[in-house]
Amino acid sequence: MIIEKERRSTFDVFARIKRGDHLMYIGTVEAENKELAKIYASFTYDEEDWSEMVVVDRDQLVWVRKPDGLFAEKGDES
Amino acid sequence: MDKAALLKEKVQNGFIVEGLEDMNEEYLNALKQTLLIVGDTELLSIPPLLTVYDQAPTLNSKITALAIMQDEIGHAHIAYRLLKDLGEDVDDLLYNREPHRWKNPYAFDFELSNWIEFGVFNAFFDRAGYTLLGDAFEHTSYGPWKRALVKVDKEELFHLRNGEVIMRTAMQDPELREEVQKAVDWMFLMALEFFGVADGLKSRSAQLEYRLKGRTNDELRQKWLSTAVPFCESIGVKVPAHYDEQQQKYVLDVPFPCKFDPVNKKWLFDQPDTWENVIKRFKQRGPKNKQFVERIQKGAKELEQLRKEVV
Repeated sequence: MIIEKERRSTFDVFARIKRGDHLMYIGTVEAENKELAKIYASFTYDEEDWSEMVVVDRDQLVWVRKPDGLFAEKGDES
Repeated sequence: MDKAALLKEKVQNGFIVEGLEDMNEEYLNALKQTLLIVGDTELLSIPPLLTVYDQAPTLNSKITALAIMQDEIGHAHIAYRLLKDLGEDVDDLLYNREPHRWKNPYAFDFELSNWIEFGVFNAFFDRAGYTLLGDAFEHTSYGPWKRALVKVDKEELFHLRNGEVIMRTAMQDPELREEVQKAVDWMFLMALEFFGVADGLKSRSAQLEYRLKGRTNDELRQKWLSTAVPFCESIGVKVPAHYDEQQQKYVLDVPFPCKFDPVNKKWLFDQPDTWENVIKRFKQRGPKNKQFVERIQKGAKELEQLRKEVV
């Protein structure tokens, strides 16, 4: 609990039900590496017979724009 | 206009909250409290189900039971992941929290007596979950939760249908028929307690004001009754409630709330109770609270101990 907490990353999970559908954001998993993230995602989000599923390390997402926070302080862009 | 009033007005008009910067302190606390109840409820539904899992009559029903428990872990995972994104230390909540501080319903602090109760658990308690989370799915102002509930909604419906199949099938067998009635006799009012205190006793609800949910406790209780009662009547199970044409709503034929004998799993209908006392009973917890929470925490604690020994 204490040791691996440092090493776990959050992965966002995206999936498409069938060809032609939108790729949807369906949730997150936490995992030590991308191989485990793939396994956790496929077991956790098995509510559909997805044609595509992808996991992305949240640190690898590059934000171009984020919604303006209702109570965001000026200059607080993080 | 202060933050609270502005946010309340916005969410009542359909504004979707996406992140911490959209929240005031009160919203964040109400959201965290709601998600903790949801996560704990999903996770702690599993230990009671496991008490009769080995009594599944066929391999097929055993596989279904396992699939249901796997779903519940998935739902708990979702609630806890959302809590983590809100800054909570989920490992600490899961593995270091005292059993009496878990927020699962009182009904989950009991061992089940037989496979039929597994079915009634699905048909009644998962129906309560479906009613509560279906309302959140429809109305909640918190975007990440609304999106996560797509999966939960689909799966809870499958659970309650499974419960209905078990109950309907059992009603065709004269011996099992009695077991169904016996299970319903204690589990029916338990399910009604999921929805919390009567509306008239609540001065205000942050959950409603901030639109974390859309319907009041009593409205949700009526919604549960509107599908559970007709189902039970259709298979010939007696329930202590009926539809009153004049009032145009379901009414109970027994005192509610009411005192409960946890040793014999029996409602004491000659002893009506107050919600204040019911809350006290919830806080005292049911007989298996400690054992069930310890079961959840056992593996993590053992692993931690092993790590200490190695170092």
